Amino acid sequence: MAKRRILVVDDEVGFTKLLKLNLEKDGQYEVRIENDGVKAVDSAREFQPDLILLDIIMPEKDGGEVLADLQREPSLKNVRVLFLTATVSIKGVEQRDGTIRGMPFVGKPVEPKRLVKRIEEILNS
Amino acid sequence: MNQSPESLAVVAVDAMQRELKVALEKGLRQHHGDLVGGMLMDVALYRERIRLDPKRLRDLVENDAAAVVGAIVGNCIDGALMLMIRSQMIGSALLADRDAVVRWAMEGKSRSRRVAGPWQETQRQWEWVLEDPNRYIQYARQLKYFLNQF
Repeated sequence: MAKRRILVVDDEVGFTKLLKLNLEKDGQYEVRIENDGVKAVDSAREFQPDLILLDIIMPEKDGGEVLADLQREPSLKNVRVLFLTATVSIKGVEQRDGTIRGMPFVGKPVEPKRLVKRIEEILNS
Repeated sequence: MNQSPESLAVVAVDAMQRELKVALEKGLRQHHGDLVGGMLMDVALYRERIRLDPKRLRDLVENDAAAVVGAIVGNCIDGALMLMIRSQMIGSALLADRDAVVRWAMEGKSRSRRVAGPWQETQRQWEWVLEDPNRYIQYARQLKYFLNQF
């Protein structure tokens, strides 16, 4: 079965490297990292991911702006997005059934098993 | 039309509150200058009935954080979002959460450049907080402590 492609857009370099290692270790996903929100759409255009893990608060361009740009791109407007946030606690995200303003969220720090479960839910929905 | 004694009493209390707010703001600005005095006035006006109860404060900050995140997802970069960010910084200061104060001050500073209107002139205020977050936390907590004596 072809690996699912995941683009991680987050300005925290250490966090994204760790996330890539964790997600790729079972051979289920191919992960690309983008640490600059400004370059997120270019990276997505080139990588054509099945899902984007998108940090909400980043310098220069935040997750909301990146999402708006993605939705303007015909080739990317239907790509699934799962937001990452440290602003709302994990418990706070769970209390809202994992969604804020209708978008799926996971709270940081991310627990790998929980994240994979969430990714699969979204990819299979 | 004649007003009832009760409604006259409410009007008098409202007038007194306004008068005291004006006096407080004037005093804070006179003593600390417009920059710091204005910021401390924001602290004074933040959730006027809130006490320094960590649990209540944490719940408030947590709820408001979800509102900020929701606004960012909706790509609403406007004065309302800036107000929410300012509120989060104040709430975090009252909780003495230094990391959160720094995070919100950086967010406010970075966004104030991109929002039209008077928020563009608040750069120096966010910078003042970032220069010494502990100083801001102490000012905010002490001011709220005095205002919540009654």
